Amino acid sequence: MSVIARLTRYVRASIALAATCVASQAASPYGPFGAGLPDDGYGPLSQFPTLFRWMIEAQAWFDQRLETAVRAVRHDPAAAWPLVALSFLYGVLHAIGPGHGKAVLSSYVLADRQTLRNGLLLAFVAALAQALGAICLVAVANLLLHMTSVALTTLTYRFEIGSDALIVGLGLWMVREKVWIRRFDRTRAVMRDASLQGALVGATVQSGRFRASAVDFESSSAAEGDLVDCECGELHLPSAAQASALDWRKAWGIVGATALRPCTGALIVLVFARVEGVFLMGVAAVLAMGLGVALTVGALAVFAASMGRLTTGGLGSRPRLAQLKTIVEVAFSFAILFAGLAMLALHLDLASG
Amino acid sequence: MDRHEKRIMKGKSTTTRITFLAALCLRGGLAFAHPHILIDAQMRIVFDAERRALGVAHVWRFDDAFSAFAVQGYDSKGDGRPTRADLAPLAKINMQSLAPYHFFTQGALDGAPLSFAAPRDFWDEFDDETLELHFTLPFSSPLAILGKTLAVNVFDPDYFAAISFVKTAPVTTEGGGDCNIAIQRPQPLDQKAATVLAAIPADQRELPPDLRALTSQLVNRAEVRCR
Repeated sequence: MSVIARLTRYVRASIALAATCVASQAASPYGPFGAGLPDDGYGPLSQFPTLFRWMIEAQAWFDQRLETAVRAVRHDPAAAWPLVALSFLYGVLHAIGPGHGKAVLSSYVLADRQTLRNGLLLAFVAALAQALGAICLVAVANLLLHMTSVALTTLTYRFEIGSDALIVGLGLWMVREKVWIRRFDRTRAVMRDASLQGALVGATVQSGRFRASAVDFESSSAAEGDLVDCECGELHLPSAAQASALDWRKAWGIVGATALRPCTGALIVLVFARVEGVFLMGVAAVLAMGLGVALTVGALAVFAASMGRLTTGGLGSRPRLAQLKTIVEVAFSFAILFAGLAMLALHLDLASG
Repeated sequence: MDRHEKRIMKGKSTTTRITFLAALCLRGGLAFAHPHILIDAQMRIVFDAERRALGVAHVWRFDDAFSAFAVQGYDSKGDGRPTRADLAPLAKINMQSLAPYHFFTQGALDGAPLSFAAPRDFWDEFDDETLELHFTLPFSSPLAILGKTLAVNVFDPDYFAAISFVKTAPVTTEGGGDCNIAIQRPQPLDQKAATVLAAIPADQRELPPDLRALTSQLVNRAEVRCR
């Protein structure tokens, strides 16, 4: 199959993927009571009905326990520890469900070849940013401005639109990087992986020549170990150092997109804690929730990163696989873009309808 | 072959990876969100002088945390006890917001689905730290139900609100005379039923009759038979 045909196939797959991932939004953008935005709803777990039903019941159980814990801490400061522990567990469980930027983050980690360390770091920063976002929102809207619950919900809804826009931006940037700039060329695929294996040395780059650690069968003039001339300047190849460094501009995009989607559960806990006179305990609880979310999302990010790294090693002599890998990365970049567009369209559609 | 290639050859092909991730995201079944609102529900079937069923009067008591959250900004006196008048705008917004969700209520007379008119007599009241929403959902026209079975389901198909009937006497009749009420609370789904339900696309809110019977396992249901 030609490269273009393969690319088309994967682009189509990623459109389908993005569409199904976004799934059905709530019937109303502001939730059934106008106060409290429903989480992004999709039902991946409904494929496993017993597990999923258990999760729903566990969530309701947690909500009740959290409520009790917040009330308890008003009378007894020592009850802070159970509250924090409970909140942490809540975060872990809650993040398994829909939302929390898991799909976008994992797609990014896979498509941008992040190391395990960076994937985990990104997950932690994003989850903590989400917790801090919820805290700041309640502090300003509730403590300072005394906004109504409905106004707060509307504001959260607008933030979500902003978040979707950030995801679209990230998707566009990644697609541009991977499709527009890079070209599919077997020789360059070889060179790319040669660089990732650290075969690139500073001096070699400057002189514009690469030491071939592997050779494509069709370019018979070169042999393993030879110094090869190539148009390296146009390739935009990441050096070994670059490949492991987090691109902080893109990373901030993901962190920002996640921070703009505070979890409804966190907002409710914070407001309830304030009403009970223990706002700072609520802050501690939400931070613990953020850590729990970070753990779950981090686990998924590590999984995505290791999937990505799995094909990096040994590809020097498997240029076809290197090509496939590039196509997969393009597909996931498109997936991020389409997911963002789909969510944005749904949000804006609901607002006008 | 080096060990990396051996691992790749072992079969984690790119296509498999994509399929796996796609399967993870597959939108199957009712698209449940996470319940953040817990509701204790009560219901009254209201009749007129000719013993025709006029509508369903709901009383929904929210959990403490959501109650505290929802009444934020509606407390005119600032004493933590908003009055019914304070909460009137919230009640209006509740009704507007519930409309796209069909007020979480489904009705059927001998299996034939019923439609409802716009809600009336609605208000929010806040006492003892909990918020209670009262509203009446009239049938589109008064129903002669003597000798027939009137079934009413109350549930949120998205599970953002986890609604459950109160423990004692959740459903009563008002003016219906001699009526028998059978209550059904949500049951744990058996695997087969769950698999069938999971295959329904999430945006399909109107279920075919045979599947409605299955979803009835998830709902709070009351069947009223009057002689």
